[in-house]
Amino acid sequence: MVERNSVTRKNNLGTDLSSVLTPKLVCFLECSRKKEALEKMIDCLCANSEIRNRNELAEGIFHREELMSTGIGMGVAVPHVRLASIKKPVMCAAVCRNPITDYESLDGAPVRLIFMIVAGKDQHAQYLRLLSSISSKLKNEKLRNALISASDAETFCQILSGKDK
Amino acid sequence: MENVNFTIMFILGFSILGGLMGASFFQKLRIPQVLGYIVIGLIIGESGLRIINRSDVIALQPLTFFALGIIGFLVGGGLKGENFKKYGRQFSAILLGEGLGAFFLVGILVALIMFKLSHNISIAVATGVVFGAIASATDPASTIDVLWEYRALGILTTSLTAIVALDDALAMTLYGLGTSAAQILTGGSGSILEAIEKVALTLLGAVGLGAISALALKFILQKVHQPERSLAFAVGLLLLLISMAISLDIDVILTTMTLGCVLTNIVPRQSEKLFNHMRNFSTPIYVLFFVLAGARMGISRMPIWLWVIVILYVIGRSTGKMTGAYLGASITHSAPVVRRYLGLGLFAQGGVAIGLSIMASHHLGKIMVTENLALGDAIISGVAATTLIVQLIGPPTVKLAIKLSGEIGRNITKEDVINSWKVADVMDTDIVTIPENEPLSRAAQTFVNQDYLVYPVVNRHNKIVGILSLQNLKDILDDRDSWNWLVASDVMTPVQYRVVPSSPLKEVLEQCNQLHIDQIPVVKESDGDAPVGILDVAKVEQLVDKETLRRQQP
Repeated sequence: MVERNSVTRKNNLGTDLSSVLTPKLVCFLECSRKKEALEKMIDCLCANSEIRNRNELAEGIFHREELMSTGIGMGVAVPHVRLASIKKPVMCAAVCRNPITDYESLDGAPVRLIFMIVAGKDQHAQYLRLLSSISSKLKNEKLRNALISASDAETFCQILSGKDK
Repeated sequence: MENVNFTIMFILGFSILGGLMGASFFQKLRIPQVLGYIVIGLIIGESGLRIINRSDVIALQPLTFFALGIIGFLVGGGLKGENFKKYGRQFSAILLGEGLGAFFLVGILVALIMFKLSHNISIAVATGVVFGAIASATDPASTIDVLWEYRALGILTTSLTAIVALDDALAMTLYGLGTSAAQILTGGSGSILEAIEKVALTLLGAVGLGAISALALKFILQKVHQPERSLAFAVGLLLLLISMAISLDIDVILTTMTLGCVLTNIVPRQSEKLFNHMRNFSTPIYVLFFVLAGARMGISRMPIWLWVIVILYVIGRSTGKMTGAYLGASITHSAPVVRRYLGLGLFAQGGVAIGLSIMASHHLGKIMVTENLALGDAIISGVAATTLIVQLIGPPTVKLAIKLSGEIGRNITKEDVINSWKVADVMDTDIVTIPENEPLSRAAQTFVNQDYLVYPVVNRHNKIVGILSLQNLKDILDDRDSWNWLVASDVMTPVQYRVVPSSPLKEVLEQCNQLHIDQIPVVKESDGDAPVGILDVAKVEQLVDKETLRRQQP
């Protein structure tokens, strides 16, 4: 089923990353395996957001990875899922201190930054805008390097939202 | 509870149920249903078992007027300005031809009989004029009922609707002038000028009241958008209008017909739905109207000479209407079907004729035609008997006219088409599916290579999980890089609703409308997840339009 007037709704959406990513949802990972990294981020989301159903989230994230890897290249991965129980989009970010080599990214490069995005089933356009916004921002190599070098979660958020200068 | 009149309730229920049963029996015999209502009325009324007597009919008179008002309103709704612009000259000529044809032929025949009987030229002419005027009216109710029952559409149907609607006005004019002439001839008071003034005032009053009410109803329709509320407002207004017409002694049918006619021409789109709702709402009232019409036809104790008048009246009226309609149509070069068959559709006689005969009995009641029969009583009994005969002949001949002209079954609406279809009749079945893990760059190619705007997205077990539309792709059109790492399941609309091929199309379209969705997946009856097609509302609308036009063709 395709809802009418979704175009008009899209134009009213904001893509302010600071509204979906707070320092609590930024983690620094020491692991070097994809599964372990994703599990830790799922735990972080369940602990620091409205998400309560860990199984549903894990199932969705890993099912999506089965369809095709979310490693978009340039050392960045964007695992994402839409869940019926989510009321507003939420994001978790991870800096991998050890590059993840088994992520099967598009360009084969190890992953250093992961952005996990979770949205509601009915937040279709908002969800796509968020995905698109992250991938567009991270095409900037300087920004990627700055994020990888961030010392703490607050700094990470400031860099991502461009408030670090 | 002791004050509740159970008899009236019983009569209402008994009449409606009996009428409907009579109608379905007649329909099985391929005879118009309206005849079934009238025959049941005859059986249970004055001329039959007398379950319904005269006092019951009088008690239910407000309902009869209500039915006449609805009939007038709906008939008026069929009078489109564009038809009058196009066929106005033809309608006028046919109207005058059939009306005056019946008037003169019946008038002369009745006057001759009356002269032979009374040897009084004044009484003979007076009786002839009154019977002639009454003969010129055609009953719109039963005629229109047959046209609706057989879903007639075409030039003959349009002409018939216009003529039966308008000849009431002609009948009233002839009657008004005729009774005045009759009163003058029989030595009463009054003048022709007074009569003309009275007729003009009555006609103008009806048109004025109807037109003002139409403006009020237009205002209501523009403010109220729920169909149920619009119908309630319209019924309320109609009842007020009918009561005003009765209290001012103005013809109810003509007044409400003006309301319908003005409304359909000033707000054609908004009023179309209202007319449909009114038609559906009015069925039991209609049934009751015709059953009561049959029930009150008392024709016992009529002298032989009056039966002779009745037979000559029926022959003269039918011949006059057929000949007059043929001449009017020929002079104005009307379509061959109108020329040949219109006269056949004008035999029915009903409320207006009976109403005029009652009025005539008041005007001419004291004139004695024989030693123990007053002219007024002779007119009432005579018109009742002729009404009975022509109501039995009229509806079948209307059916014959539309059958011969090939106009039966052509009044097909979009709703009829939608009601006749299931989802299987309109869904796209040769549609390809898109796997949920297909990268968008490849999924987008499907839109380029295929003709559809939506595709079902399936998982590896070929179970439907969503729908991918062009609209979904538009949401990320400005980020083409993401097309390499996004897959179909990322951008699809998850499937929440689905239908099966055997679902009635009407229900599915209503569901789509309520949920604001334009496409809905169709799944196997046996497996609710296996896609077999897609129902695209915009495409369905195109198909419905096309099929409606196709079915309307001869």
